[in-house]
Amino acid sequence: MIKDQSTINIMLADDDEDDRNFFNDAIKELKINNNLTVFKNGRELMDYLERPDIVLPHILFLDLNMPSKSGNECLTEIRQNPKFKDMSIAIYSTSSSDKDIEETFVGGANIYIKKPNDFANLKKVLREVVNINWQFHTSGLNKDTFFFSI
Amino acid sequence: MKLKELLTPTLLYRTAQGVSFILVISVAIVFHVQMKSLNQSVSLISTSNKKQFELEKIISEVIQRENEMRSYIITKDSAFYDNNLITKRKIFKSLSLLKDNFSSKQDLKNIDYIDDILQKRLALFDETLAISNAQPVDTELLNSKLSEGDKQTKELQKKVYELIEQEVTKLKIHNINHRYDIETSTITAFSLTILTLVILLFSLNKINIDFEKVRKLNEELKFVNQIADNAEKVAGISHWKINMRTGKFFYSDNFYRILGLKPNAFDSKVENVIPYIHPDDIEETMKQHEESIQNHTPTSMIYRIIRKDGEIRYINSTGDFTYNSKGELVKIGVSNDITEEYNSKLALEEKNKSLIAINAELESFNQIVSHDLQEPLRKIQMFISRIEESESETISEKGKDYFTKIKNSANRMQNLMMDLVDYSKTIKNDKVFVKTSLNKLLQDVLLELAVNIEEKNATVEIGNLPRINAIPFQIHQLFVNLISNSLKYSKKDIPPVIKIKTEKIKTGETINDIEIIDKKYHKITITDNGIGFRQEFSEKIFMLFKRLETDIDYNGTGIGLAICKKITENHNGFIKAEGEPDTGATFTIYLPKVT
Repeated sequence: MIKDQSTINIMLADDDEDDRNFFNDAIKELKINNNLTVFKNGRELMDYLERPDIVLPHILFLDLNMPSKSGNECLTEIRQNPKFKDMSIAIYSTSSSDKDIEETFVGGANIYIKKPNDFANLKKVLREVVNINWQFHTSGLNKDTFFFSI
Repeated sequence: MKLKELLTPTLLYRTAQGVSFILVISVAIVFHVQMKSLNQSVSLISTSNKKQFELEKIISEVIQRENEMRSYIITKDSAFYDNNLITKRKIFKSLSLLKDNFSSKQDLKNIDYIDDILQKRLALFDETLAISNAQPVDTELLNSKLSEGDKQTKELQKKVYELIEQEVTKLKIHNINHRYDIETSTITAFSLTILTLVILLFSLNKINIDFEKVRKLNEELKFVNQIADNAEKVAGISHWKINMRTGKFFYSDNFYRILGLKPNAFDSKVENVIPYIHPDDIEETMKQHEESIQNHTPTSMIYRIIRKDGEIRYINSTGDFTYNSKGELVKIGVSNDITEEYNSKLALEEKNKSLIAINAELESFNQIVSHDLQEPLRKIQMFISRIEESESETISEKGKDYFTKIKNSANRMQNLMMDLVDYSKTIKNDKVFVKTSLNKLLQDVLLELAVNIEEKNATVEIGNLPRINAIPFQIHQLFVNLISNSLKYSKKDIPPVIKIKTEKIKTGETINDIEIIDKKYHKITITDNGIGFRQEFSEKIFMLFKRLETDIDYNGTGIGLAICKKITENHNGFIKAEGEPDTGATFTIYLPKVT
């Protein structure tokens, strides 16, 4: 249930506390209206998404390497459920291996972000990704533009 | 048939035998004929003698009768002349005997003549006696009759002697002829016997020579067999035969040795081999053997045998059917001891497995370097950037300096790890060669390095490059590394100019003492105007982790050029570097035109 058209709902599932904090700090510094919900792993995320009365995110940032339920498993489950058909999914991982990129592309993620190693870069990436008009964005269609580079 | 063919050992022996046999038969026939003629001679002589005797008997009887008659006439004593009839009979008996023994017409005529005279003489005897007995005796008539009788007797005598003479002559001629016959036939027989002996001796000699030849051949054959046996021993092979008609088996000496036995340790039968076959292999081996024997199909199998001492050997046995010189169907085969090959094959498979395992480990090592190690490093970098951004005012100048050093070290570590991953990628096996346009590929490379190029205000000039058979991501990496290298080692105050172009290979151009021919290789050069290097380092710069002293200022990892070398090697090509300090460096790549 979206109250304000200009408010963007963002979710992040990442098991690494530091990364969650960096993400939170970066989003805050972007100075955009947003609702950020953070989950410590895939199971927590999926359990939340199953609930009937929640506000669905516009964009979900999904780490791949997580205990109890991996990012890939979450991706598969979400893409199998028509309820989430409008949700954009950004993979947010340390890995930039061809295998992971290929798998998540086939699995239906919209974009692949390699976690930056500089806070300024992180802010830059998030600003761009959050500002993408996903309804018209075609990055998910083409494998060459799937991997996000600044 | 030619003479030479006739003189072959067996044929010669047979011919000699035949000739000798015929000669011996001839000798026998000659002797037989001789004996027969001798027999005839003897009977001829005896007949002739008998005739003479009978003739003489006749004449003596007639003379005796005449004497008796005369004595009677003188004496008138009948005692002298009372045997008239018996005497007559005696004479005619001899005459009929003569008739039986004479056969020729002339002779019979003579006998008839004698007979005639005898009749007449006997009649005259009676007449004369009658005259002498008359009273008175006509003396004149008596005398004339007596003289007539005398004449007749003389004629008879003459005739008889003529016949005797004739017989004697006949005998004489016959004797001469007969002696001649005996002489010639003896000579013939003797020479034939000698000839037979000569032929037999000759053929015996020839046979002896042949026998000697056969003996020598046998010895040679024995020697060859020995060589073959030794060869089998050395090579660990053996052979065997099964005669399908007789059902007989043959195993070569080395077959027994392979089983760990002495040659001919058992009767050559398949039943005696079975106990040595590994229990797990008996069923399959026997099945194949029996099927082959039944259907006359070739066999090829590997089975194990267990020697008496428990050692297990692997045997490769192949066999097929053929016909021997007698036209009998035989199965001939070879059994090889392949234990060593089999074991080394197993070892090789084992090595392959461990190689695959090592590759998998390398893969997981890649995973560790590219992900697990980068994760904490990334966090270090993130925290550094956080501190730099928000806490810089509260840190002293010295602290800031330390932070810069920490940041540089962290960045360097990241570069190292990324290069290591790239290097390990060039070692991996998945090499797929694709026709690649180098010009197109370099556009992507420049795009990737765009930020870097712009930063350095560099110019990259690219000439007309060929299409090659390549592993695209590796050649991409090669140019990224080379261009990055040129950008990195550029002079601080002069914008870098990098020229990439193809060159024709000059005749006599060599690398690592191998002559490079234009027909076979593309030559691509990358020239820069950077800091260059001393020529003595031209080899060293391609070694893993080898860095030149200048690298301390330039933050190199010592992996990039090692990757370049590895990539050219993966493409069966070469790379070399030429440098001059403060002028620049030229990297030359040779890549094969056909891969």
